[in-house]
Amino acid sequence: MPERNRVLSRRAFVGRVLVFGGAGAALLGACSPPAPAAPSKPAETKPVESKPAAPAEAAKPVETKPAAPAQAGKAARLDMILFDGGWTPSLKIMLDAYKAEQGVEVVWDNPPLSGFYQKQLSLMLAKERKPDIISSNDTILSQYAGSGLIEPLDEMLANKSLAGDDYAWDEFAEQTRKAASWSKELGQQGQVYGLPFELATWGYFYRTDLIDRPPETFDEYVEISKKFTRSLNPSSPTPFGATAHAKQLPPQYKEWYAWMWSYGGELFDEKLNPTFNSDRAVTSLADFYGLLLNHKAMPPDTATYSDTEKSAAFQNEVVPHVMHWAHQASVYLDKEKSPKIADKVKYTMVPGMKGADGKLTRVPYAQQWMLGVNPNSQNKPEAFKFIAWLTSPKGMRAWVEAGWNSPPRPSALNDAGFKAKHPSFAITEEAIKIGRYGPGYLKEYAQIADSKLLPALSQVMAGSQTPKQALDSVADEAREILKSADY
Amino acid sequence: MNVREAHPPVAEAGRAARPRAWARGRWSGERLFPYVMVAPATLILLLFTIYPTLFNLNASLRDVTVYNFTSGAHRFIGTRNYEALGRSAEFWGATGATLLYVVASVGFGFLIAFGLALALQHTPGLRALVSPFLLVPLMATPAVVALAWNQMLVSELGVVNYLLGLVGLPAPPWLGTAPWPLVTVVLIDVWQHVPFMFFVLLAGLTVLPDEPFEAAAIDGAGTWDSFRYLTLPLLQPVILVTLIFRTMNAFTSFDVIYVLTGGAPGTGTEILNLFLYRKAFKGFEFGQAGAVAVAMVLITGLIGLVLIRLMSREDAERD
Amino acid sequence: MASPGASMRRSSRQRWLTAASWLIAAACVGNVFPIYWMAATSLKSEADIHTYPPKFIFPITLDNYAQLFGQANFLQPFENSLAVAVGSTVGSVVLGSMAAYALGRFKVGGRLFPMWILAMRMFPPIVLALPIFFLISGAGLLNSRLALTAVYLMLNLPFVIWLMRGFFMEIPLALEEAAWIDGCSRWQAMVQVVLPLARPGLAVTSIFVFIASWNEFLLAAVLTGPETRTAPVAAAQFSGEYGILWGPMMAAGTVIVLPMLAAAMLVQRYIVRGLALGAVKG
Repeated sequence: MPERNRVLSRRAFVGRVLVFGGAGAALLGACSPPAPAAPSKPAETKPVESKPAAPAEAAKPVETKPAAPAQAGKAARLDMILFDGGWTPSLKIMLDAYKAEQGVEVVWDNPPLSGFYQKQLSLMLAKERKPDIISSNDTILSQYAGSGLIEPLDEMLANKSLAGDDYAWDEFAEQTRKAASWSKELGQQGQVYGLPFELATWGYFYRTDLIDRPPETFDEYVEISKKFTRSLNPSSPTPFGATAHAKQLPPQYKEWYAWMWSYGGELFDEKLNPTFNSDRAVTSLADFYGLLLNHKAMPPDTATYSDTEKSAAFQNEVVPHVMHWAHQASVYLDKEKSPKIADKVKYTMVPGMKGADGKLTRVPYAQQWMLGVNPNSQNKPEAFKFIAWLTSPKGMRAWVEAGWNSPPRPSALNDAGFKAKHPSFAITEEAIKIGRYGPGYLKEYAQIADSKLLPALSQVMAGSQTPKQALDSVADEAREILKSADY
Repeated sequence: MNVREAHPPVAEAGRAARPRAWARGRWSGERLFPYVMVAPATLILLLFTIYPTLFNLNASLRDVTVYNFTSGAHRFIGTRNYEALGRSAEFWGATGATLLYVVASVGFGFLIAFGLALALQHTPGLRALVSPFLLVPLMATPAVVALAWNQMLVSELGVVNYLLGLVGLPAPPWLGTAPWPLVTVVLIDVWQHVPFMFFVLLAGLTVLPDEPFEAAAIDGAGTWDSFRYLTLPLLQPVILVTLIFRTMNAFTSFDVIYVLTGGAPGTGTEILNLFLYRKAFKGFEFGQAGAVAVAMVLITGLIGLVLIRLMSREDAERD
Repeated sequence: MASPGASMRRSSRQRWLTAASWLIAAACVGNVFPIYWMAATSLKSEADIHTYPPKFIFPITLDNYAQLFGQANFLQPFENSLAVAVGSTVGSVVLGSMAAYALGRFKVGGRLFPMWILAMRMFPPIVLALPIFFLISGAGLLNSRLALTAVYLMLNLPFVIWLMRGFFMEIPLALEEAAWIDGCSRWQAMVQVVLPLARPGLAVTSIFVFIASWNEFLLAAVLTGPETRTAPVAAAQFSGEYGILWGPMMAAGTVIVLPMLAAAMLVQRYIVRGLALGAVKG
């Protein structure tokens, strides 16, 4: 859709609100004396923000711009929105380095995670020009792309004066590139909307003094969990055998996916029919949450456990093992942070399931964070130049040297020096090959997962619905949502 | 609103006893004064409430979602969002949870606050000693203190169950199986807001006249009798004000529940505010969210109306 | 209980007293404990925070505070909170008192108008989140302290108006009438005669409004930017994707609550006195 149309229709939306506003004000004015002036306030301020100049400029072919901009001085300041994460200290070092090298200051707006998605979305919907750089992940990127809230990067990526000579986009694993792209047409490669800077995968952490051999399959995982539950086995050294992230936040479904996928379940089939209520998927959830519901092998308030509680349970010998982000290794192996377990912890790939042919399938969830460009930004080329600099092979190496522990570039992950410093890189490297992301091709995925799947999983954990009931009803709702989207 | 009512004190003062003068266009500084005084506050309130209301109302009549918000490809769909809401078990569940939460939290909190106020009514020394302690929760930042509560209440790792275990009490799964999470968020709300109710009720008790109580004591009335037949009726307006303010406040709860349970288990603690948040910022269905918002304003407005009528009866009696 | 003898009365009194003392004791401990725990956690090392059983005696460390004021530069959010809370308190108390005076004395808008204002108090902030964002964005005031101040001012107005209206209605009309006869204008009479008498009410109202602005999170999280973040929002930044940095977070919580507590201790005597003068009749 042409840029101009968008702005006009947005204005129409606001306009409609204001027409209502006028009527409402008149009504209110009739009964309370000092009313009328009020709603005209938004009328005065609203159009200013539509900035008629912006769309025309934005509609210009992107290639024409780079000639001018790359020179320092055009934009001495870029704005970026991204919440504080494990990347914070090292990313700050990188921002300073960019300023020293390019003379461009990147001002980082870091709302707390609890307000981040809301703020970023509000900024996008309000068509704010700032921030220039926005962030996304494998769950939400397709929604942003499918809603026209984020800029496609292909042309800038092909432009060596912006991306640099050695950006090496193809170095990223195929899955990584897929998760960074979105296409309107199903099954197409589509356009790139984000440059990856974080890749986090799941690992399996266990106490070597209790567990001799890490489980290969989830069946073994369940058996171990039961063995270390005191109500099932009075001689168990730990009160409970397992925990889960069951608070209603995205890691809840990401943890389940590792089960679901290795049981042979899928989220959707090629025709976009929801299949997460298939027998295999239902069985995987029944086995997973059955640890709490049937065996009482998880702490009773696991329903509100997040990563924080999961870690604390493992660190305090409440559970003998935990499935967690691989980069947590830096916490569990640290004597100061985990004094009780640090010298007894080992970690490996998450368990999987054996198929009929006896082949073991392990499918850890791989999570990817990316930086992208705001389509309403006045400094798109400069913004792209920065994120390309940051995520280039060279930038990524510098970033890891500054302390970053979850780079997505294989060249950083398989560097022997880095591996010695970050043992979790070995798992991540492996997981890039076998792990999976959410179905990034589907722009409705975030909506279905966050607003429907999360409460449903929570219902199961609360025991108020069976896995079958809960997943069936999510599948119905998902079908409804996809139907209205006309695929 | 009603011009004739506009200046009763002036009229009583015996000067300018023609209330309709304003209507006849005799403007003067003195007559305009009350309107000038009310104007700024009213303008600000209108600006910040009319626009959002109309925004939500407009959205609620359209099939607007994140996918078509900026493209403007959304259509007017009449009341379909409302119909969908009416059929939605989740919405009615959230409404029920909200009412349960508000009633439990206001009711239980009131009993504690009233008990404390009565206990400290006649002991100024003790009151001075204890008041600072009672003030503490009022100052706590809900978004932060909710996390502190979370850490304290985790069943296997928290200090609360540890202490309960030390004195031999059972350790409930505060944030685990229903109905505990609802109990927990109600208790935390009570914890945070008892001080406000306590201070207002105590203030009300301190200004009760002494004479009726002395007379009753001479007549041999017991503690219960003088409470039942003197304190309660005399304090009724204050009780009403306390309950109304607190009820209105309870309807705006969000931070603590969002941080602690996020609505879990299932949707057991999903009050309307959280339901709206899920619709808007997790489901991105702004049309639906608009309908929820309008429904919420109607529901709270209706309850507000009932409360306010109660109060306005008191008001009228006082006039 | 209807006709108690002297001894029965004493024993029932005794029981009341026991119950009352337990209630008071429980309330004191229960009220203070979470804040104590927050403060204690802020002084622990990371290992001590995560350990179970929880430690009541531990080596005190100030590392969390060093991180809070060093790396996290908490002074700035603190200053932002102060500016926003003071600004919105002064604004809403001034504008709210003006309106309250007119409503209480001159019955502007009859009975319905004040009721409408009170009903505004029930407006859940979450309903406002998106539209207010657009409003502020349209005015070009995103990430500014001014916008947040204005929003808090609005959120607090209904409360101020209702509380102050009660205070003003308790002040005898005769005092103003005397001033009017002496040639004072309405405004002069209000400022010189009424306001000094309403001082306790103003103080109490300001305290409650200040607390509300100081602690608000939901709207501040989306309306503020890197330089204008308020203290509760800055504290929430320690709660990340892979867990919570309990030490600095609890240090932030303590730093936010302590000045409020200190101030409240100083004025707590006036809270009851102030409320008794009018609020309870509103």
